[in-house]
Amino acid sequence: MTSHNLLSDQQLLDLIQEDDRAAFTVIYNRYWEKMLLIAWNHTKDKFLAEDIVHEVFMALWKEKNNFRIVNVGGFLSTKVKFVIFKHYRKQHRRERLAGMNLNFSELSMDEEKLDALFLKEYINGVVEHLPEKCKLVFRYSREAGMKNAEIAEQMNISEKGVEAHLTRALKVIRHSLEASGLLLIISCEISKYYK
Amino acid sequence: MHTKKINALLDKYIKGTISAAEKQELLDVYNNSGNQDAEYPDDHREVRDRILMRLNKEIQTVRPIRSYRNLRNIAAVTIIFIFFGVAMYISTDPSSKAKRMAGTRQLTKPILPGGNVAVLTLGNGESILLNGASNGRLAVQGNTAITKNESGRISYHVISDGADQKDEPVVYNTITTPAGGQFRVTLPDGTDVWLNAASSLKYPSKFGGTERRVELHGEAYFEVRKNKKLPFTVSAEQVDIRVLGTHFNVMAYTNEPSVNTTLLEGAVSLSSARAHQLLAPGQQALASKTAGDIVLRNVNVEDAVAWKNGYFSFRRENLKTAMHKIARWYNVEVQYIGNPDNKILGGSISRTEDINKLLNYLALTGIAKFNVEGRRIIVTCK
Repeated sequence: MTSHNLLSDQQLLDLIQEDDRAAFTVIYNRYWEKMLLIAWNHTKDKFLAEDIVHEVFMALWKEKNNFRIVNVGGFLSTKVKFVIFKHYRKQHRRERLAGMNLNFSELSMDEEKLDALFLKEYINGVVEHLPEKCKLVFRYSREAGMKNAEIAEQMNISEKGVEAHLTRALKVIRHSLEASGLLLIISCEISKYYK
Repeated sequence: MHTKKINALLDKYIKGTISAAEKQELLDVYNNSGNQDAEYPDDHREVRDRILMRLNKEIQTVRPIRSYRNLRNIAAVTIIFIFFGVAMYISTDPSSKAKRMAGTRQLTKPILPGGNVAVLTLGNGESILLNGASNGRLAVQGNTAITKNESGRISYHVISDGADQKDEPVVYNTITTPAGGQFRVTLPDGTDVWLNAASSLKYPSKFGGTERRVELHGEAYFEVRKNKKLPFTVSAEQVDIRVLGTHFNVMAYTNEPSVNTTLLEGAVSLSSARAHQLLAPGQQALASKTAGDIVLRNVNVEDAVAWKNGYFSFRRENLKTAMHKIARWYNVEVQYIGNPDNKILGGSISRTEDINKLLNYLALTGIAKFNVEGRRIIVTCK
């Protein structure tokens, strides 16, 4: 049995997904300081900064099985960014509310929206990690709205090749988001790519 | 002020009216603000440990060695929106399950998990109950002052009052934890020691001479301050552990068959009556008390120091050894009915857990049945 310290982030992640606390501690040791400094630079408040680090790593632990995290560093960087965005919003609202009679429920809506945006950005990150050709095909299809035949011509590959890349990309994205509700939504979308 | 800029852009981002250029601007401002070189004002290690302890407290799971999924997070249902354009995001809070369970505390005589309890015995024989003391200066010996920094920690430092330090006689202090106790002490050279339950550490109030030597009974985790001129030696139940500057854990309880030293960082050499051994990080040395030999093995070092980080970590662990750890921390006795010898346990659980909940988790793995009678745990194995 090798020491966890020698394992790669990816290997540790696999262990974390099986509730391995020792692996989680090693990841924490590798990234805690970077997270803290970012939080500190933004908030300049020790208590807030530590709260933020706590929230980021709790998120890693809580969400380890809800969707499959592809890259630990990416997840943590993205997460801390959105936690900090939430902090800015909270602060902003507090300042505006001072003296005014505004609705507090607007704040929680902001938080939910930011949570959703986090997921969106995180998924973008998943796409970034796709192999080059696969990523290109996916982007042409989704972002540029090109048809499979058009992509085939653009990239000088067969249409079947384009379909294979798309299938693969969707598979990766689907695997990285294993929550049941999502599969329903994705399967509707998948049909769009087969024309 | 970058705050204004970020808020303005965030507004658009949330509303969905942000342009690509503005989004990039948001990213740039965020990254630039986040990457300044400002120094964090508190001690690095303290912060790291503090945050970790808080995390471990909140994370309360057990990983049974069989693929037993009934402790899974069944309260998490997430419907996610994806960047295809659907915009709905709802999630239920998975921590609500933990809150519901906490309400089912049993009304038997309370066995509580341990805490920061210890006694400090000074060179002149005087004892100070550390958990009862308030923060601040506790005592002065020669030109060394002992301060209680916070709950669970004391530290030594030299007070410069002009007196010639060479003439100071060396006095020994001992810090002792009972079953159910733990404490942390920063020694006069800056070395940090975390003492586990039912342990004691004897050390001089001031280091000098040719080496730094401390005596340990029980278990402690050390982060030794580097000093090439003064090697640091831990003497533990007939085993000497010599280090330079390093992080390691020593387990030397009288009711365990060997003295186990686990090295996290640095280098360590061990000697017992009949053997010598050099340790590399990631290794654990088991110095048998009966055979006199020293055996090396590779381990997950985090398991050896899990106690210091606030949890029990059992990895292919013999039930009896696991119960020893629990007994020391909760200050209880253990009695066995049936044969516990081939029972192996795996999993991790917070040290602040209620004893009944902990035993319930263990029982769920099917390893044995547990009953609590007063301050005794009766373990029934098939």
